[in-house]
Amino acid sequence: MERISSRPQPETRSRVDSLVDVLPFGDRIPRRSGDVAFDHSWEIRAFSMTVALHEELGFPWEEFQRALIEAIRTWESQQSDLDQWSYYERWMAALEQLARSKGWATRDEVDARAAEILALPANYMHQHAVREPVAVVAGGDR
Amino acid sequence: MSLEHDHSAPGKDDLIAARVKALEAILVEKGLIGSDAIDYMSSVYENEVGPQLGAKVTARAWVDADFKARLLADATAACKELGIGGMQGEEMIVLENTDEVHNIVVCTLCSCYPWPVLGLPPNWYKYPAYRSRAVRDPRGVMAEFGFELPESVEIRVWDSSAELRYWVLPERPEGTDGFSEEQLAALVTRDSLIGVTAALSPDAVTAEV
Repeated sequence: MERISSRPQPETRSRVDSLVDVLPFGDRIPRRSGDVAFDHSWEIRAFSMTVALHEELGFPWEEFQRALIEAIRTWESQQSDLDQWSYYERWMAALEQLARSKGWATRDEVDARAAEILALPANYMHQHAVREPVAVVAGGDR
Repeated sequence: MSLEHDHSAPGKDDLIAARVKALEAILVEKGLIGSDAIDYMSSVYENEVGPQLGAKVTARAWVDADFKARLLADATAACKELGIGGMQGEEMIVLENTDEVHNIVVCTLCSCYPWPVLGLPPNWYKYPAYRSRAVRDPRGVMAEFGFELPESVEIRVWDSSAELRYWVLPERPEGTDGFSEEQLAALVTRDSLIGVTAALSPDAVTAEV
């Protein structure tokens, strides 16, 4: 994206919407006013990573659908506490399964990298409060 | 619940957020996918995680001068009045736009952002282009968003950090006398709360419908 304010192409939006439409357990996808909704940045990241992989690598979307069905069934066979349910947690489980079966990343690789990430304090580069403007552009003559 | 805060024990969301980051880092390192491709895809829905709460707080400030004074004095406490929180140990400052001063927010180092109020940051907020140009040429950045600020207005650029996060209280648009808080909130966009644009004018909203 060259321009900061550039927006995705409208056809991308409809392409992604059509991928969402065929997802299994579609009635459980979190939505607000009809549109797909996310509550956490990791959810949107897991979602976007999956769609980008599908578009860039060209693996059939059905393979992800099957992995997601499997991940949801696994949860249901082990849990009944709906408070613990998260669509995108299952989504990530399915994506990790797909990554293993495709040879993209092993469980050990993901475990090890996740542990490294958790060991770093968040925003460890930028903890210092900046209380004055970093730049001021004076107004011209009135 | 936070993805960004440094608390002693990581919660369930921190753990899964770390796995998502880990998988992305591995796939990018192996050259299977580019971060830019993922950024692009996440921009498709980024408006769906919009700044509803920030819009609600702004609308309240526009109709209630006492609330506005409290918001500008201590944004964290004022937001808590409306049941908006989750900023443990973290300070938030709201900057008021006026006829004479326009504020714009950037995180010069990473992407520090008041997410409980504004939702997820847009991808461009993380781009080096925005992080550097907002400081060097804020007027040019605003122009890219289609916002022409009068030359007479002073611009102040503020650097959000993990310790202290800023957001902007835009000016109440003309022609909104008698609007309900709900109607007013519909005029408040995420971009106006970052300061790259003004709030929408009521005409712009009716034109879209």
